[in-house]
Amino acid sequence: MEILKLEATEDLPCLLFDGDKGVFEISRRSLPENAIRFYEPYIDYINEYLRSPKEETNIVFHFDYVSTSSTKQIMKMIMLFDQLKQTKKVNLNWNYDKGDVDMLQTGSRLQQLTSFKFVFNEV
Amino acid sequence: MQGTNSGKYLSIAELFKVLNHYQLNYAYNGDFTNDLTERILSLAETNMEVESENLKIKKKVYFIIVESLQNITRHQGSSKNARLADGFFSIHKFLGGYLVGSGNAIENDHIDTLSQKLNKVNAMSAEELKDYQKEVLSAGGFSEKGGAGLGLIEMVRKSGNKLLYDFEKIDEQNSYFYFQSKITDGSSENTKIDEYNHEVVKRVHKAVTENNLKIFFQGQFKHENVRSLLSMAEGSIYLTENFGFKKTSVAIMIELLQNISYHAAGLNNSDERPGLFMVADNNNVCSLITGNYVENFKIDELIKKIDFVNSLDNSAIEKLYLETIVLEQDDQKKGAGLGFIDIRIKSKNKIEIEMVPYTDDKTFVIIKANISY
Repeated sequence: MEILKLEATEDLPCLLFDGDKGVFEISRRSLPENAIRFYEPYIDYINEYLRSPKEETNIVFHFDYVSTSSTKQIMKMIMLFDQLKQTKKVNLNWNYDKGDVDMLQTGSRLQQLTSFKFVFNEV
Repeated sequence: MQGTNSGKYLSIAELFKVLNHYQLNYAYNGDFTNDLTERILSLAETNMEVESENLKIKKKVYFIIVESLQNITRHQGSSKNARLADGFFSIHKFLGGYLVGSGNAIENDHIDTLSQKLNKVNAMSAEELKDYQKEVLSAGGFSEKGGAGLGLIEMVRKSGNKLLYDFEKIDEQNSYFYFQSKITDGSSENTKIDEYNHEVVKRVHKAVTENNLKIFFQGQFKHENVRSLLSMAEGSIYLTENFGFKKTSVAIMIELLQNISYHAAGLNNSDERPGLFMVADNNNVCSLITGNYVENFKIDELIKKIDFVNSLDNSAIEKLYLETIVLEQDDQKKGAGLGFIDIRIKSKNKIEIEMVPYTDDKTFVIIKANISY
């Protein structure tokens, strides 16, 4: 699969999707003007990956700020991986800055909507 | 501006109406750090970019902003009295030009010298200013006693207008110095604006200090503006002292600003997103305040939404958050639901809402999120 890569900007996240390695990483800030439109190609990519997924998938989130409209799209992605979890190994790491209680809480909330056990790392 | 009485206090909504004659109003009151001044410059640049301002005016405005900010940082005090220590900066755009204002405390002993300097450059013709500038430059750039500095000469020359100023007594030792430049592109001068010209910086400063505001922004809430406004607010030293408080404030700010850029009603056409954003500080409570027009037929639903979010206890609001996140996944426009829930959870306070009737079909809605720290 082609690798999707994005450098972080003031309002867009740093992103690395590498289907061949089963790696999905999003970090920094996610405040796009239109979250649905912004995340659409990445959600398509995940759907394509799910047709022939790797034995092990590693997902890492590490946000500074996420708008609520982005949170909904992040949730959409997590739910896609949630299905994969029934047949393959999927690890989900929710990293957050030291002392960033808000981001830890956002992760804990999202976890409740899935069958995942998020690995929370304060870094 | 000099010698005029201070106008009556204007409520925020009234001020908004007056300032609506301008396309953009931005003010900051407080400490000016280097980092902050850079962010203010970049906010101004973005706004000029959004307004697709011509290069000549852009360069002039940029220069005047740099000079004004330098004046503030050079003169801002270290006093414990906020009125003495706080610097003030504001910029106002009107059809055909910009006003750039600044304010800082000054010792009464220095008023005469400063007035003389300002009056001297203000009295000069373009030719005289040019000669005077040469004279000062050949003297090594240092102004002799009683002469004006290069900065002031350049400001008059670049702006093409006289410098407006005023002093307002604070106490026996100090006064507040208001300083204002007008940059015009020489074409269409909007006469309507002139009525407010002399008072605008002072009026905004009054509204800002009376409401304990740190940041005041009125303009179009296009995405680009929202981005640099956020960056500017983040750079305010007021928000950087306490990590947890800063994170929460910025996160709430993001929701409030996006809320305006998605939902605000325009006055003339539907592409406009006129709105107001303010940061206030009262006794360890930081208030993030937005104001924008909403069509009257949407008001009931908005009030219902906020009342409902306010009425829930912690566990009920957590439950609503989870329900909403799944329900709203495919609807960009419906963002306000989760946004208000998020604000309510993060601020740990009720969201305040206030309505000011504007026209038959629109209301000015003020939304306030309070964060204790």
